[in-house]
Amino acid sequence: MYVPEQQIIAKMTAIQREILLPEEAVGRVLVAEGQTVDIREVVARGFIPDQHLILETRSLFGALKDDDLKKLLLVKERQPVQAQQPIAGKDPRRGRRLLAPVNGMIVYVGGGRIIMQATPQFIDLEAGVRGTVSRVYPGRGVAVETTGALVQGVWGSGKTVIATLRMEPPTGIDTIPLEALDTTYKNEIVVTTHPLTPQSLRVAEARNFAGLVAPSMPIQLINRVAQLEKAVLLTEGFGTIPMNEMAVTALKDFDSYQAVLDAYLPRRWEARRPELVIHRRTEDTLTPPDFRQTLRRGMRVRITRAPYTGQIGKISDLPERPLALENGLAVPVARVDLVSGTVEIPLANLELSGT
Amino acid sequence: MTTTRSGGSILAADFGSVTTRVTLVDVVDGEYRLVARGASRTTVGYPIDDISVGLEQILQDIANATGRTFYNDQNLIITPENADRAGVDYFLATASAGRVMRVVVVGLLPDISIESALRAMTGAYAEPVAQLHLKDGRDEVGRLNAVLLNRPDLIFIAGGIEGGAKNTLLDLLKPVRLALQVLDPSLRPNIIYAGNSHLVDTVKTFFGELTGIFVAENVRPELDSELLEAARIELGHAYDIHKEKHGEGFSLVGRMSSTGVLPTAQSYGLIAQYFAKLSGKNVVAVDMGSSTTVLAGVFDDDFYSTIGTTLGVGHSAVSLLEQVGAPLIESWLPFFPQPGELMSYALNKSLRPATVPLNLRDLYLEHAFIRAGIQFLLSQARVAWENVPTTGALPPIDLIIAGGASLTGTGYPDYNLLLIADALQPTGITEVKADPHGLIPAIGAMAQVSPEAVVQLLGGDSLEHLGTILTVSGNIEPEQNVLRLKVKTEEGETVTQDIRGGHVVLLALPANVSMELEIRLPRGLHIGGARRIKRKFYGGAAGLLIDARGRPLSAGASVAERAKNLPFWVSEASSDPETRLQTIPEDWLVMPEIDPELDEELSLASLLDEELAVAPSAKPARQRGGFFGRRQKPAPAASAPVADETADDSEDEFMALIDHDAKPEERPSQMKRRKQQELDDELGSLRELL
Repeated sequence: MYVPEQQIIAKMTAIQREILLPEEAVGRVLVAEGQTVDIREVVARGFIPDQHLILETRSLFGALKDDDLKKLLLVKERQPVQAQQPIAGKDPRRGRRLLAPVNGMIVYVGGGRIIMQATPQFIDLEAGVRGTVSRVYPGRGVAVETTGALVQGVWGSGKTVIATLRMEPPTGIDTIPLEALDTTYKNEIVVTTHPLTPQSLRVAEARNFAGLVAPSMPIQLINRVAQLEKAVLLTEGFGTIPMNEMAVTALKDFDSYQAVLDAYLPRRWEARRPELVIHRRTEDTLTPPDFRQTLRRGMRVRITRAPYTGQIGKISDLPERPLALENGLAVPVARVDLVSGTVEIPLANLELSGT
Repeated sequence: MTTTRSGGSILAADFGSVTTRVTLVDVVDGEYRLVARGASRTTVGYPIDDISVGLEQILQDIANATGRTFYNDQNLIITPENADRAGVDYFLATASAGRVMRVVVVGLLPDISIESALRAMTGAYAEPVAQLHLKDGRDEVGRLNAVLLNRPDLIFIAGGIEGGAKNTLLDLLKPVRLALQVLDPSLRPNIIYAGNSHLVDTVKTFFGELTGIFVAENVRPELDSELLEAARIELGHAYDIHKEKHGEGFSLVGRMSSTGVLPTAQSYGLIAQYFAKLSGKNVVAVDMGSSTTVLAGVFDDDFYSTIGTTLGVGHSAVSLLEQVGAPLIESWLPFFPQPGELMSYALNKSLRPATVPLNLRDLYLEHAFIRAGIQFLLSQARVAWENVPTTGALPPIDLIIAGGASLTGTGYPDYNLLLIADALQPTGITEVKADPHGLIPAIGAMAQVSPEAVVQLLGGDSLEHLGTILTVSGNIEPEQNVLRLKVKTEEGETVTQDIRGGHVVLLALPANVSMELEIRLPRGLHIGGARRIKRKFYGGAAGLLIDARGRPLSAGASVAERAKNLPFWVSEASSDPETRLQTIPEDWLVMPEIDPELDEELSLASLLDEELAVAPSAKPARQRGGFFGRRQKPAPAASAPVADETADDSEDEFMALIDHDAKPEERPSQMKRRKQQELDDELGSLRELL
């Protein structure tokens, strides 16, 4: 009984999104379980710690016990202070005073010293979807439940954008003129079913796309994509792989809908995927995809390795024993009916789409 | 964690990055036997970030097959076993999945105590993120920040020979203590102290109120002696706590387990030591997984183990490529890689680590990563292995134990044997055992509760006997006769075969069947030091592999040579050479055309920007403008206090930044009010947050 991976591509499904602060951030959640949140609502706020400084106080105030030194504080611990702001002394306006050397906050007082942390990098975490908070991860973020269309990818450029979804012209993204009077595609999430090229990125920049959804891109473009400051999501991976049919159909159906493109950059220890979400209401009660499904005959599956990457087929047989592949390996396989004929695919190279 | 007893049924689960394997053993007719085993995808990461879910799934399958039940009403594994055979006497858990421990290492000198601490850590799933020592070039503030900003899970303190200097080490520990005081109690790392034992009480007093302390024997009691074992055991305990802290269901599994969650690598070390002790010979155990690679060796009774925490062929494929480098990987490829092809392959593999190659080109890439990765780890490990020369051919290895799907998952024992020979390049006469079903982690864990189970399982056929590699050493001339083999068949007939340099030959001798071989080598060549060998060899799942390719092994200096050798060796090492001979497409031998525009992109910046691949550290989410939106801040330049005895109304750095956002047409008074309002807003938000 093989439980395959799932990469969800669904036009209407129950969606549970985890919205979390980066692991190294310190923060707090601003919403409660059961609360309804909107797309742009900040659900958690945090900061990434910055450099700490040790401020010796003995030369200013003499040797003091910790409690006595704390009494001299002019600001509270963990309260933000500005550079040059008096932070300790008998009077904030005159006399011997200790000034903050940088913007930051006092994080510890003891042993005749004040430890300050320079102002860290702050993060406001937006919900990204309209839905209900189903779980709070204290200090980290929330899980939000909603309904709608979901297209998951495999790689993202690490940025998030909320904008209208727009399919590329029939001639492809690379044929869009760099300069034009009309504002089509401007501030929109543009979908291309072809692998990205340097020209695609030039167009995205010149026409000011908000984001890009593409099947794949040559590895050479990875740094350029990072510099784009646009959310880029890949549905298949790196190289020149075309987009799978399921994703193409789903994305075409939602042309001109408002979408959230969370081009999450996959991280080794995080349980998240980059994804595109289109919020849609429904009166039906939807259940989330069953992630424990085992492979069975008749199932629609997607192939995840060359030379069939992205192709969709139906399982016609699940041989009990490993079979020899043309490349010289012998592994457990499924027989999959593709448009071009039946092929034997290692079970490990099959994915379900969660529908 | 429950208490341990001895005897009875044992259920062992090993949580790998990709696969979870479960083994059930029980006493049958007075002896431990394998009763059932099961495997499934590890449920870490999307969509079910909880290892206990995958475990439950496998136990359900085993329950269906054996009729046993494992869980009680609270969904906990029943221990000990009931009279009605529900549950098991022991449940044991090992893991290599999940995040490794981030460790700050503290010691006096980098080439003495720090080096010993790092050696102790090579056997643990631990990543050194910072080192504090007398020559680290940091002042107190630098050391404080090294601890705070690296977010360690553990601080490993070594240093000071027995009876040596105390104050110097204590001075180094002051910024560590300060860092712990600054940190929120829930975020404080545990400490392992393995330094001068005369300081144990002082260290306990120094840190005792702040965090948990594990004390181990001094790793460097004298300048010329090293004791690592006690520290390694404490690292194992720290790993168990780390696992329980870091979610993913490890906490529940750890509580149910009789021994907590043990590191999988410990089992490989234990099994290597077991076989070495039993035979008095040199043993190497290796397992290359998706995230990590374990290499344990016993040479002349000395045990060494190394874990490459960022060397793997799935999740860690990108970091493997970064560390190993393209040239070593390309030395195993029978084609010119397209520009960026290696990185593209590694990235795609890290995004879908469980997938297997379907076409020939991908297979060569996969096997090149495996061979080069293990070669690299071995070369790194040899630096620390005292009884092993750091370069050149390895001393003879008598037994290799290979685990993990990378080395045992080709589907053909003979192919596995060749892959192992290529990666480890043993010399002499080497017996090879494989663990295709992942029993080693289970057996290693069983040693904690039932040594008799270990002995009985390893004495049986739990591991697959793949065969024996006979490696010719010396100055081998390609295509010249290097070995004359005389084989006496069962019918008493003698067959003679000459073997030429640059070739491998497989004698497909089945397991439990023996054959008498007489081997002669010309002057200058030998097998494990002998030019003449006459002895009985037992077969295996693959048989006997005579390797006359020389050491160090080279698949060929040019693509053309490799295109000739690599497929040919696979065929020669096969029991079915004709069907296994793959033809290399001609276009593989042609230098790829370069797209000038993409090539320019390639040269503009390093492709190996891991931040962009599978990010090890986070990028901030969308930020607010104004104060919150300011990303670039210079690091504070000084730590000296700023004293001021006069009022200073000048614009500070902060106000100057606000100015930058002001609209030009604003009147000064308006601007001042607006700035004050913005400042209040920002400070208000910050206060609220904190």
